[in-house]
Amino acid sequence: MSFFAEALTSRQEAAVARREGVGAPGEAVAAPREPGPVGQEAAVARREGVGAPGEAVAVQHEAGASPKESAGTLRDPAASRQEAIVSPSGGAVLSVHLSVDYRNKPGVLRDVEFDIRPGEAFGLVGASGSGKSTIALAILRLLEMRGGAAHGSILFEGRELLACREKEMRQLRGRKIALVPQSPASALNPALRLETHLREAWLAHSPRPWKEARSPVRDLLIRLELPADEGFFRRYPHQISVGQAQRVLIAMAVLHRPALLIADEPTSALDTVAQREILGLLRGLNREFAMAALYISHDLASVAALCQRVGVLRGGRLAECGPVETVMGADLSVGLISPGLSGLIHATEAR
Amino acid sequence: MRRAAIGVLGAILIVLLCAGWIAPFGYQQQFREEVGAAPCRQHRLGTDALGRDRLSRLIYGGRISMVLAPLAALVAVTLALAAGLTAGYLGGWWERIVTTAMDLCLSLPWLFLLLVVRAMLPLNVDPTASIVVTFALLGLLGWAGPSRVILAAVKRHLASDFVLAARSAGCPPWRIALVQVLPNLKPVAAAQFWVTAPAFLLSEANLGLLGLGVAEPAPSWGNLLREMENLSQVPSHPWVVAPLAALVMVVSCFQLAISTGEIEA
Repeated sequence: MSFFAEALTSRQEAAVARREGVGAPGEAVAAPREPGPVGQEAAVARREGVGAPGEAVAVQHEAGASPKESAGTLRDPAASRQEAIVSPSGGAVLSVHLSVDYRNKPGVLRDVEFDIRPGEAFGLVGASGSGKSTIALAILRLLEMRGGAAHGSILFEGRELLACREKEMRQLRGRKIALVPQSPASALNPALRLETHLREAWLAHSPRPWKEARSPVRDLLIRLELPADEGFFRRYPHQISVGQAQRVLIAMAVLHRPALLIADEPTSALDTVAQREILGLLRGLNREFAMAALYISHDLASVAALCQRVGVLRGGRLAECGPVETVMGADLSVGLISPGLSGLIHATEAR
Repeated sequence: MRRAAIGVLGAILIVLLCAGWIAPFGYQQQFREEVGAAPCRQHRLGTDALGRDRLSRLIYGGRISMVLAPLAALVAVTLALAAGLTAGYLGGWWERIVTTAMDLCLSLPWLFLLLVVRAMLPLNVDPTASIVVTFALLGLLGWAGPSRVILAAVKRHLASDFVLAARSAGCPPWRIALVQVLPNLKPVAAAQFWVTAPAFLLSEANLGLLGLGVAEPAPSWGNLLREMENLSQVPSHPWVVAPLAALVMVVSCFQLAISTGEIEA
């Protein structure tokens, strides 16, 4: 089954669940703009027989949203600022309104604006160098490591990250916002055993000794289809495959059940089979742990398979933003991508 | 080649450490009736102007040079690691202080600095104290060069993807410095050690040649070289170059160990 077919199946299941279930109380507090996490809705609806969080959002959206909004076009910045005054994060786990300058390259990103709901998987696509990873680093406030400076606003659970002190950010990184980096080969320290990597990620936010954590971490590794024996713990990064390394990084990222998982092109270094497995894994984690995900990729197929909404970066701006089906305009069942989006990506790459 | 060089170094070190059993005589034992004797069956390298067996003094002197020069190098590299790691990680004013101190140390004529510091100490210093002072000076003043290399490595690692991953996991700075960065400095620190140790051997020899190194009667390869001061005697007494030959062999082995290691790496 192709990515698109899997994505379609997921969406069809969600639609069935919506038809059969009812919305849970309190769901209407979420801002009625975009559909909620469809895959998760389906899973929860199947499990409980009722609507999942975000379902009422989708219903309201379908019933009351304007055609412009439902088409997923960009919101008016002034309107969103007004909305931010009324409700700091508008029910979103993350609200971004961002501009980024590098020392030698000003204006890399200009007024990029999007938000992510709890449990939602939001895709960010664009050509290489369009600033996708820059956004990931800006959210984690690690942009200074690459010589960049972020301006604007990043609201995470109602908290302005750009105003946070470094100590406060350290409390959030890994515990509330986690990153799955792009290159597993370079993101794992070559001098450290895998156990040390996991131990460091654990001790960063837990007062419990590592000895106590080994058992649940083993369970997590098994959940991620990794060997969890003593021999695996003692291996060095160069002694495992790239796919296994990526799974270890995912394990480190979800160790503390973060509210937001940023996956920065997690499949770009993998072969097709490993890509499929990692995507399945991310989809499963998104459903299982109900964590929101910012999925950054230039692989449209994987975005279509994983995400409910997508934003397209072009020329330092978010050129399009909305539900995957709308933005991609694709016939998901046969895996075709709209000529508009395909042209957009290629045009950006050609620049 | 590298393994051979390390093997030779190891063998020399074992011989030197077993000096008490291997050396035919004590390094202070005098043979007053055989002063300045040529090599013979009893004294393979002859005797010096005080009638002491040259071979025994070469072995005992090598023990001091070969053990204490690497120890001094260890001190220098440890200081360099501390300075480079803290300067690289903390940055700011501390980095400016460390790099300025490095520049000052590197711009000073090293040998003359050692001479000045050593000359400020009493000349009739106890032999044991002279050994400690000589090698402590080498260790404490030799940190600047290795420190610059280590600082560059720290900067490179701090910008690496694995440090980014550790920071994104919320690891505190001191754990990143000690757990993530420090283990990766091991190859750089080891290379600096292998470069510094033979440099210290030569520095001790230079000081010894000038009479400012290890004080008599304790032998070191440096003060044994003082016999070569009278160059006109060397052609007729070629055995006096034995300490020089030993020094050249050991330094060459150090260089081969590090250079072929770099090529293989």
